[in-house]
Amino acid sequence: MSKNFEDLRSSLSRRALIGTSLALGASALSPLPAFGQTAGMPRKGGILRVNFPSAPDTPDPHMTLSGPGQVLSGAIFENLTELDVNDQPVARLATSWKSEKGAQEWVFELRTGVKFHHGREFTSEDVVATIVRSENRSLGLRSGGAFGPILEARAEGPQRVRIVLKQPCAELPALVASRYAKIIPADKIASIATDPMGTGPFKFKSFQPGAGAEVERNPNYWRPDRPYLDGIRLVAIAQSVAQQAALRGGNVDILEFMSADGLLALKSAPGVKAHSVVVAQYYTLMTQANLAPFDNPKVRNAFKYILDREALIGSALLGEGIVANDTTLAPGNPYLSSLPQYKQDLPKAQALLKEAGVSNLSLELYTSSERQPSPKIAVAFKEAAEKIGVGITIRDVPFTEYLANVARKKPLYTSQWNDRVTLYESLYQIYYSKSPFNYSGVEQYPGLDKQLEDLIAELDLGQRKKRAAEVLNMIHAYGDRIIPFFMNYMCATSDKVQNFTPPRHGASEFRDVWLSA
Amino acid sequence: MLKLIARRLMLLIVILVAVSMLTFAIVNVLPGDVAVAILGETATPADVAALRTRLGLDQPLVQRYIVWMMAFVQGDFGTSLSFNQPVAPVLLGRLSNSIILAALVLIAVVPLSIGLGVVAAIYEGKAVDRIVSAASVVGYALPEFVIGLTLILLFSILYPILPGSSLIEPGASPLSRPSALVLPVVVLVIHQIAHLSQITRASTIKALGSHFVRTAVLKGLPRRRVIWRHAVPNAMPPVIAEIGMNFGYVLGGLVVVETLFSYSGIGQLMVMSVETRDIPTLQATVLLIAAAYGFGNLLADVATLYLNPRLRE
Repeated sequence: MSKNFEDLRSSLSRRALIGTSLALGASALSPLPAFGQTAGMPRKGGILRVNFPSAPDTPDPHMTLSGPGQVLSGAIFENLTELDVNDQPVARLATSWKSEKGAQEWVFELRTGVKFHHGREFTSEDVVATIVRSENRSLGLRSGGAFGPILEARAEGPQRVRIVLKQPCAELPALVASRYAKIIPADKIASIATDPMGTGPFKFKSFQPGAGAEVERNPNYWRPDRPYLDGIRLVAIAQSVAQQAALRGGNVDILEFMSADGLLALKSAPGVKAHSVVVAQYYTLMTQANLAPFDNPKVRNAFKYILDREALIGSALLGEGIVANDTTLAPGNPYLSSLPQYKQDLPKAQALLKEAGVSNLSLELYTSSERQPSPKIAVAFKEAAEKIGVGITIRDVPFTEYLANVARKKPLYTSQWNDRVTLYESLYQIYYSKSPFNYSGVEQYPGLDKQLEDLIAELDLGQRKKRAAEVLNMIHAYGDRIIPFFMNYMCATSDKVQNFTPPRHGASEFRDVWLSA
Repeated sequence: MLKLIARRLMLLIVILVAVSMLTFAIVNVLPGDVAVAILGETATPADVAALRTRLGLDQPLVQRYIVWMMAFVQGDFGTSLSFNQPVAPVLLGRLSNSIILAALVLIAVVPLSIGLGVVAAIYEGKAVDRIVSAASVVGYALPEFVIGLTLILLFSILYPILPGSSLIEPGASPLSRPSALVLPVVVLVIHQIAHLSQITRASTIKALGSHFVRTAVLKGLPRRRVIWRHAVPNAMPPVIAEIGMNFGYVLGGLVVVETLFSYSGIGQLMVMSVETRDIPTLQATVLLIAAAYGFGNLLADVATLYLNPRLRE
């Protein structure tokens, strides 16, 4: 394996930086994260009750859209790799991997002695079947692209898989740790949504549509010392006050995906730990680069000076976030070059608009109250924009209508994006003109596609950083996403919950969690 | 009377067919369909189209309706498009939860509000009446959401004696955890007593001023007998009609309370299936609720007939 891109992240400052902001935030919130580990020997047993604002949508790991659905999948299924605290891929179902042909092909060696929940041994055929299914575009799954720019997967003996790519991709080992790249058994695909079988630490027990789900301990898990819990029950209390009552009353043990106001109310509650960690989930104002007036790059650039980002973190997040700079990489990401931080500068925005030859702008800004705190961004934007004569009408629409008629179709709207780890996910998939996540469907400046292809294929760390800086520089100026902030991941746990770490990429794992008596 | 019931049942079937057509049509007019709801915003138009084909949403509207209808009349409620599971077990599980909640609420509300209404009517204009009426106005004016949140704050957070959510073990009956039923039932009772007691009061006052009551008083009957044998039964028809309407409401209209307390009932299911445009689930839920309204009304009418000999042929 080429060593240079393997350990590039560990040497870099992302974790260090996030660690700092975490410690700053955490000092007011909770004891150090290590507190759980110091509370004695892990205790076996107990059912962990985890609350989400909504119920899991489906146990199908290639289909689930919701946070709770991904937690459910994450308990039942496993990936080839997982990410360590430095976002480095480490072994899970695969034990080692190496690249061939300049990272156009990758060979994964698989763990032996792993059994699916129905008792059959995990082999390379399962990996191949998983990839075939998840890439089958006629099924309308959400997992398309989860295994990178894949051409085909081939079994080379029972414990070895070769993945052949359409183009070189240096980050494949990290990509296969992503949420949709979960391995399913070749012989149980037809029933995966109703009776899911994985290799994970927990077995599926029941699913109550719209209400919750249960998993129980997998006694044959390949790590005999895990999991500690007898099971997990996922429940759904939507209302913030009712959530707090449930945690304080001992009816649930963890509140996931909390709102900032809910977290605030629990910060001083007895017997409760409130967690707020910096992650790369962001809210954005989309300025659709293929639609007027944003087909003019200068207008996109001008709009980046309108929002007061610091103030917005106070009003929309009650301080639970960090300022962003219109790039999709979270602060501390090793590839992030030093770019000037956008600040509110209304005269400059006005001048840029004039330079662009645009006057008397009047726009509709779409948002959805079902996706808080998006409307607060819209309101703050409207107030600032009107000071420089840009008329904004806010259209608050139901989320399903937003999905059908707004995203990709209106010039200006709010959107929300989950944490993405690799450059492939956070730059290539979002800005490559033919990528599904490039909502504008166009190059945001001439030559970007070529730059992105070269960036993803580049194996040399120094060159990659240089190429990434070039791309980011232009995206920072002309990208179609105004990203005012990264929102912290907020959750709360009862003091009984030990060894829990808030998820850095959206979905908690409970393999190492235990409950004290 | 049997003829009347038969006629009303026929009418109910016609209404249900009309409701099913309307629901089907309205969901199809709403922006977005189940495919975009399942796949979310990052899905490509091609993925959405593929899922639409897989779910059969690319078939013509009328054809989909007829296919659904043919299966439905044969007792096949179809498969939920968003949950990918048969509708019937999901619906029946939630129906039994809803029936328990509805029954508890009606058992508490009906005697309480009739009692309060009659007392207020007897003491019309006096302190008791004013207190009952004022409390009713407050109870009716406050949204269920506000009452519910206040009760959760009071009894689950400040003085934590009752659970603020009605989570139950999967597959278990809500009755297995009675404490979790207290707050939702109280919220609904406060809200419904207000309305029903005021209707009882108005209707009883009217009855108390009627000729037959005056005749009864003049003929020297005891006051208690005048009220409970002559005035109250004659004041009941509008009250019973209202209870009949409430029957449908408490079975399927408890969206706010079910959401607030995470109670898995029919109302919550209906809202979820609207949000995801899950037509089979929505159709079954809406028809069930419409049928509950229909039966509630029918029962109320039969009861009114029973109370009023003049209306029986």
